[in-house]
Amino acid sequence: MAALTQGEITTARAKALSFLSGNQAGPAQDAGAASGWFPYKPGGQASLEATAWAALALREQKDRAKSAAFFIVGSQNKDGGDSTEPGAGRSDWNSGPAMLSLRLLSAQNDELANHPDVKRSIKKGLVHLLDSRTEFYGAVGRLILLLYKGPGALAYARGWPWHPGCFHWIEPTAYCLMALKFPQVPDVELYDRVIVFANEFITKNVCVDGGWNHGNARTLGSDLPSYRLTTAEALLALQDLRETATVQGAVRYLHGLAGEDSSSLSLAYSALALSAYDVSVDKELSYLLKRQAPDGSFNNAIVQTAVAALALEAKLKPERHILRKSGSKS
Amino acid sequence: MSDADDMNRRDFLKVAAATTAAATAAGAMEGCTARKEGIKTFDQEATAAQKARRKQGRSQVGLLACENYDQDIFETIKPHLSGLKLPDLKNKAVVLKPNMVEYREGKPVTTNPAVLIAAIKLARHLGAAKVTVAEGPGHMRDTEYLLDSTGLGKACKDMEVPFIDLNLDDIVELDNHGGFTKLDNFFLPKTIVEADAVISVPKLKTHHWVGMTCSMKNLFGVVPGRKYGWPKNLLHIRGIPQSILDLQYLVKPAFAFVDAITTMEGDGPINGTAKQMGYIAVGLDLAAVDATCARLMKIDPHELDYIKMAGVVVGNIEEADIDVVGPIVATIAQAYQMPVTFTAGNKELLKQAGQQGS
Repeated sequence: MAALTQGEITTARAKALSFLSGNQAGPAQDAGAASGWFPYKPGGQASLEATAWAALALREQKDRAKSAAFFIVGSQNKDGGDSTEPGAGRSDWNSGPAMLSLRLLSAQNDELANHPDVKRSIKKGLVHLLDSRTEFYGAVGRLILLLYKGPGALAYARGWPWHPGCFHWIEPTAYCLMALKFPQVPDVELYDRVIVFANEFITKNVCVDGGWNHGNARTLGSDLPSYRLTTAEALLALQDLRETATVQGAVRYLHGLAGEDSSSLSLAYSALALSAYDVSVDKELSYLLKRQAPDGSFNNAIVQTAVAALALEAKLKPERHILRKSGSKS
Repeated sequence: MSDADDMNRRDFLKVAAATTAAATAAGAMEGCTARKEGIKTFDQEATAAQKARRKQGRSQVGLLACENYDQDIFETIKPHLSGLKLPDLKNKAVVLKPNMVEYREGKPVTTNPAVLIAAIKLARHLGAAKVTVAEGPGHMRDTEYLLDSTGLGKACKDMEVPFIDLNLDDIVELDNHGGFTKLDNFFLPKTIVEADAVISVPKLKTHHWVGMTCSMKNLFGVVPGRKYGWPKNLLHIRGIPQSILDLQYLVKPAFAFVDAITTMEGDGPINGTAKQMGYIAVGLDLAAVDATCARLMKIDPHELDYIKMAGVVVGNIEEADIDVVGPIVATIAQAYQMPVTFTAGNKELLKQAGQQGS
């Protein structure tokens, strides 16, 4: 398989961004405005996740990124979280992608960074992430644990659920971890502890083949296989553990799939994740570009196209990789 | 779903706290023990309103012989359709919902593409003006991968039928007051809510959390991941039987077209092994279809919580109330190896369901 040329990658990215631009709901210039959003599919309802990823892909187009950011701010629920669509019930897993996007956009745009509504939204959103993790024990239960086993008993691996009140799973935990780690971990010790527990939840649930699936590495005595996509998402979230055997094993697992074609989403996330670990992604991108439609989209979908555009950007300009962990604190 | 409507977290925490204390006393507190104990068991009585939703009169289930997938299944079963009371779909927008929960090479996890093609042809034969295939895979959000790997995407393309990913579809809030899950509202995909008829096209399999999965359990796939995630853990936390029953009422499927040709036994619905059955099961009453399919597997439907309750609130599950068109069930039934969770002494394992996928 011949490596792609810079020109091919540049053209593919430009077409992807054009597709995204054409699917943004009307321009919004103020926080709270109900436009600037993206749907999952052309013509669909607003999606916080799609808006989050599309805004990151289009961040060089400041007006578009700004209007998407204001949509995210305006959609935030009272508790600081986000729902899949504004008004669609309690805050859910979309809080992770929404906060990830808002923090990264704000870090690269002074107007957003200094806007009081944006600053307030980020502050509330970060607190929500702390409060929305899966909890196994009630207050009394935690007190009993503390008295019976000491403080160490409360230091258990713990991530985030898809939906409030449910079990924790790999993907929402990865999204929320990314939201806390990018652009930098907030300079408050509590966040460090939360990250340690969430990192531990993911690393403890690694599958026997080295990657991750939805979160059940083993069920009823059987080892279950990894998924390519979930492994890539987890790797993006675990870059602070890049020297560990678990993460290195997962990188090997994911890189070992490079010769296999897959879906747009799996290929795009794989390329984004592996490039963050300085691993060649030429094969993934070659397969990926074969899936690009004439209109620039991947699978006619916003998230796929946005993540693909980010992966292509990371190939073209490694120094601008949006999800490459710097490791420093804010 | 408003804050007040959704899961009452304080209630959960009370349960968790109480069970934590108990576990502490027993010296057995580890990890998620309290959470496991928080999983709802199915000990509910049906209300009068729930009972009123039940189908009245007798039910019919067709068992149509079909040995394998290497044939035009619709042409094979077509001669027998006149004996079945199938609905008139003339001018209707029909949604076919196959099972595409996950992909495992060599394992019969999903509805076979040949069966989906037969169901598409049947819908058109019954007059459907528009046929759509729709599914919201339960474990993997990578639907494009699943469509490619299972062959279901190619089946849709070959039949020129659009596919809708229900996990990412537009959503509509539906009232669920009085439901078994105690959730006052459910967000469901617009494609399902606006369809004139939804046809459940499942794969017949054993299931380690509820015994078997067929046409009713298949409707878990209509619950959108964009709201509830992958897996759709809320349905497990709220009780799998309860969720299955609420979805029958919310979705109101028109009929079932079951892939019972190559089925799954053992550790289903994902990790089991193939078992040849050689039939397509068809019927308007999904409770009757599932009860009949259970009998094909030599499973007593009364032993499965959700089918037993479906007999109270959905339709008929008693043999005496079901007219089978086809062979006598007992003559073709085969004993299926049940999941370890349904063998003697292992039912405690069912408490793991809240922290497991399908």
